[in-house]
Amino acid sequence: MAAVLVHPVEAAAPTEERLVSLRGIAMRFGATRAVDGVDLDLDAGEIHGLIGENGAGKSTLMRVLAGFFDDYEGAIFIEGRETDIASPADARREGVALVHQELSLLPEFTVAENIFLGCEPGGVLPGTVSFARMRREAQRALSECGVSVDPAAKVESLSIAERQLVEIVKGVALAPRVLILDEPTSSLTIHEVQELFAILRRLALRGTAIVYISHKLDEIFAITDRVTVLRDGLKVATALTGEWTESTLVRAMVGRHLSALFPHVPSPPGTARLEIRGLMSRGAFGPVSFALRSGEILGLYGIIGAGRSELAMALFGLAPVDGGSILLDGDEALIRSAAAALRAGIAFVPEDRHRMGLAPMLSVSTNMSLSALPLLTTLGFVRRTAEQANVASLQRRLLLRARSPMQEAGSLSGGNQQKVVLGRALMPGPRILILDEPTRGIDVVAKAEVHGVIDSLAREGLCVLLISSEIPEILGMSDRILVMREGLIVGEAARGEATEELLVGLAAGARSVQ
Amino acid sequence: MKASHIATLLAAGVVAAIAAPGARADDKLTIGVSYQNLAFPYVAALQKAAQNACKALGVTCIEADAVNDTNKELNNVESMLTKGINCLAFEAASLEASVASINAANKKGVPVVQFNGKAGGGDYVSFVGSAQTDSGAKLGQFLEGLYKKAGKPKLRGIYLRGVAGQVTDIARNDGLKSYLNSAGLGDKIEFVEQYADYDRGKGQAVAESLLTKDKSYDFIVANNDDMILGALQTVNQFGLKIPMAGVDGLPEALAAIKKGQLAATVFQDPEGQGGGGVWGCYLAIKGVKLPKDLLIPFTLVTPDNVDNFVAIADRVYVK
Amino acid sequence: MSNEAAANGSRPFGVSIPALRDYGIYFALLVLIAFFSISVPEFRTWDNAILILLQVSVIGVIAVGMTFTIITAGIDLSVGSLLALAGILSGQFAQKDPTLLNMILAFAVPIGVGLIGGALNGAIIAGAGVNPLIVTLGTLTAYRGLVVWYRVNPIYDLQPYYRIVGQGTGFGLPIPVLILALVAVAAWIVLSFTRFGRYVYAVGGNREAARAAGINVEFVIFRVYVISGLCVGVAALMFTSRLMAAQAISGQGFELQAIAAAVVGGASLFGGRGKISNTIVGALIMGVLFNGFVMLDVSQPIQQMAVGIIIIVSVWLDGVLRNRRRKRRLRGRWALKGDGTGASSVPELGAGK
Repeated sequence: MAAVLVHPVEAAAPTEERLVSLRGIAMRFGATRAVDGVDLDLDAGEIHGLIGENGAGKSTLMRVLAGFFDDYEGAIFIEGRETDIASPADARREGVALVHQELSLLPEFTVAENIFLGCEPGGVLPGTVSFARMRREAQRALSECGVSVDPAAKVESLSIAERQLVEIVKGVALAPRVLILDEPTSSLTIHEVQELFAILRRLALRGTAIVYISHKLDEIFAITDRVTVLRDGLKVATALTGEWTESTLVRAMVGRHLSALFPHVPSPPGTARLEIRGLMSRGAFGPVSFALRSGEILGLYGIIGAGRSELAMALFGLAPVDGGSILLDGDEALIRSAAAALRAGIAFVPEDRHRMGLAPMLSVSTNMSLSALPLLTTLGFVRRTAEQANVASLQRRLLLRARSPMQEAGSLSGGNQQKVVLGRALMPGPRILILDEPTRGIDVVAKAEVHGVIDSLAREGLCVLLISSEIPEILGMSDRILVMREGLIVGEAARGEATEELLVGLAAGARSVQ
Repeated sequence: MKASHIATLLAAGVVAAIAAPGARADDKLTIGVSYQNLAFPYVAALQKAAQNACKALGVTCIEADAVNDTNKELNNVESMLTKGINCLAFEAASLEASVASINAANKKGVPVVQFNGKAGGGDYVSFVGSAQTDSGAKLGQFLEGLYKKAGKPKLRGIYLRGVAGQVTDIARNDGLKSYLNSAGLGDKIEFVEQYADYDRGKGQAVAESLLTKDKSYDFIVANNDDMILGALQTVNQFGLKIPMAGVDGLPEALAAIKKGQLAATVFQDPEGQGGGGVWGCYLAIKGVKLPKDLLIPFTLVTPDNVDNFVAIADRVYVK
Repeated sequence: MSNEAAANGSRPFGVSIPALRDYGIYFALLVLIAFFSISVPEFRTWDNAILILLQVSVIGVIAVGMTFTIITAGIDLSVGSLLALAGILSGQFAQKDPTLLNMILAFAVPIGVGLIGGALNGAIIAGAGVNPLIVTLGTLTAYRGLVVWYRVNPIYDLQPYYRIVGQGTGFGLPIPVLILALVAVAAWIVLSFTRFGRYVYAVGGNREAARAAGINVEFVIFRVYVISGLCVGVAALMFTSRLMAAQAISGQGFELQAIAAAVVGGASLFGGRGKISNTIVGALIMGVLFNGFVMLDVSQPIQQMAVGIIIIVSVWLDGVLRNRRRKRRLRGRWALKGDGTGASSVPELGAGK
């Protein structure tokens, strides 16, 4: 594997000047070496970006530092002193806090209880908990981070974005010396990301070392001081952020050039296949009207809570509508269930692949063919050869990497899981494809591959509705962009005209542009 | 209870009732009756007998079912006491835990007459029932007869027990073994014992397993008729002929004896016990002094005397 | 429907994880059979083998139906009470004169009662969305109360023709064994080869994902409880005919035995996992244990302890095997480089700050 080195790898002896030094860290799961001997230094007050493809070892490396494993190899030095971090309690003692990628909040508990889980402030009698104090301190932590969430609210009532913010506050509330953030912004809007960056900068000024794991290169360039690239469990390079460029970063991650992250070539769109007239659902969105033409990728942008996902679910029959109509190829369609939507040729890739996407213990093949089973069944029996053929061809088209189609879907990486969900949507051969955040939380390579598939689908004549909160994605992939705010469409822009400022402004409430 | 016993009590009761000062013919008495578990056919027969007695005496009876749950039993009894009863006819669901119910009645000053099952404490006026060891002894009597007829030095058979640790099961086992010991047959009769939970299906399954292994048993006895009837299915299926005996005197067992399929059963008298419970309460209210224990004997039913009992069974069991 | 994991990792005792989970119980069954065969010579006769099959047939049929409900992350606790209800009603007709109508009714009524009871369960669970544990706990109590109220005394004196289902033989095997085989094979075909079978697994695997995939989740749930009820109806007919008596108190504890058979067989109470073949093996394990212990003259309390330990060990083993997969992130050799991202659907507890 060719290494792309920008600077020689530093392997200086750990000294007291470095807050954290990792030397020769390795972590093995069975026969796989997830991390294969990595050295890393963190300085107090620095924001250190950590990037790599899925499976490169970033999360595992940080989990070693956060005390998840008691059987790692190598040494950890805190301020020059060697220490063993074999449990989360050890990590907490050393002042290391980890904000998860996969949310670790307990839905039935309140925000305050979650923030102080495991270190609840004591009450009058020993062994009791003072809920009043807990709520007060939680409120303080939330306010300091600029997060406006009620500490007494139950987590299950919060949106994904709010949960992610609470997760971050949970990490920050401990006033740690090292704060590790693993993909902290996957559910956040631009505004919230800026807030987060402000919090991080304040923490860094106070001397906290921050590790920022992210797939989003624009964020890495925006917030970090130094960036380390991992690949296949090894460190490729560490360098100051200013010395990297996007293409050198990607090449370090991947080991090769990626031609394009957003390979969309717009083609002249065809006739309008899907027409929405005055569609509304009380309290969620509407009335909205727009048309979708064949071969067109229509982007739908907005902040979280704008009603885009609700609109998507209504189009797919998973949520009720109170008014308006949907016309397919000119005929009015009554779509009251997902099955009806599928029959009408509409397909949907949901926002949360864990909740609505996959059944993790079922095989890749079973998950993928689920929506298409009515087409693959004769007299109640599934035609296995036809099913296998379909699965194989979709697997090839989506560049899905799995050892075998019989593999359990839950054991795939995030990117491949997302491809399975996409495959499920595509197998029945839809004419309209609704994608809700299709590349959230997946690695750069998989992202590019998914974009490639979307592009080829559009060229084949599919109508694609692309809901996304990632500006680069929506600008790069869409032919037309609609902006939604508080349930209504507040603006539309064509591919050439749209800019980040325009979209963000419209979504945030600037004067509407038609 | 034999007809003669009832007649005696009736006579005594009528005399006492008339003689009791201040007794009025239109006195509406209420007797509370608590059963251990009406899902058992025997207990249902007790209920029928008790209801017959209530009608005959012209008193109001309120009934409650403990469903084998002593907590429910206590709740039932307390509700009945609150509603206001003159006497409690009580069939204990458990030896120890049912004492609480009796104590509750004692506190309210309501006399208690126990029937069929006796709790291990509390104040009661009289116990109308059978000593379960006696039923075991009757089984022993049956085996003694079998031994004499068989002419073999040793007999070996299957003994189907009920629920491990349950009072009646222990009592029947004790009665059986001590009878045989005192008859000098303790070491001459060998038992292969298994618990079948008083359940017909389990009796059948256990018999199947044992008989598959060894078909040469000399007898099968069980601590209740349900189990022996289950074993009977197996014996018939395997085409064997083994002398079998149970306890209870269910109509089905009596019919089997008549048909020659079952050798014997030990008849437990629901009329005597259930009816006796209500009668005992009535007399207690009227102030008649009753013996502390009114024991109703068991009878060994064989093909010779089976007809006598069919009539009684028909009165209280539903076909 | 295979449950293979992407095991390129742990191999305890040199056996890979999925093999251990799927075939470990076959191995356990063989060990038990070997043990009893050596300890009790009468155990290893053909007659005894047939006897074991016969003795597990009633619970086995119920367990087959239970497997369906367990795969959907549900459960049916009412099977014992429903069995008693179906049995009593069947017995009433079996007691009457053997006219053609009565005979047909004696065989058809228990099946009908099973279907209706199951449909009632299914309608409440699917329609009202109430937790299956609670609903079937309620019907367990209600059906039992109904049958005891309706007919507390047992019904015996059944007509001789009725015997055939429970005590007859065909092709050299007892009829109940043939019925169990038929029911098991039919269920296996449905679960493995039909669309409905896939839907059952999907609903259990991830209900919301199944819904988003276009599956009518409520209808699937309704149908699995009807299937469970149907199996109970068949089992009631077998049971009553075997006993040649119908009792209102029958069937108590059958639900636990059926659940134990399915769970020992590897079905997960969380849904999405379960195989008919494994359920049958689970039932056989318990049947072998019961039969062997009686032959060894082991007292019943010890029998119960042994069965209880086996159930606990099976569930624990299943949990351990699943946790190893989640925590250890077994990976194939492709792009899954052990990074531990994106594969878990449940956040890891105990993750520190």
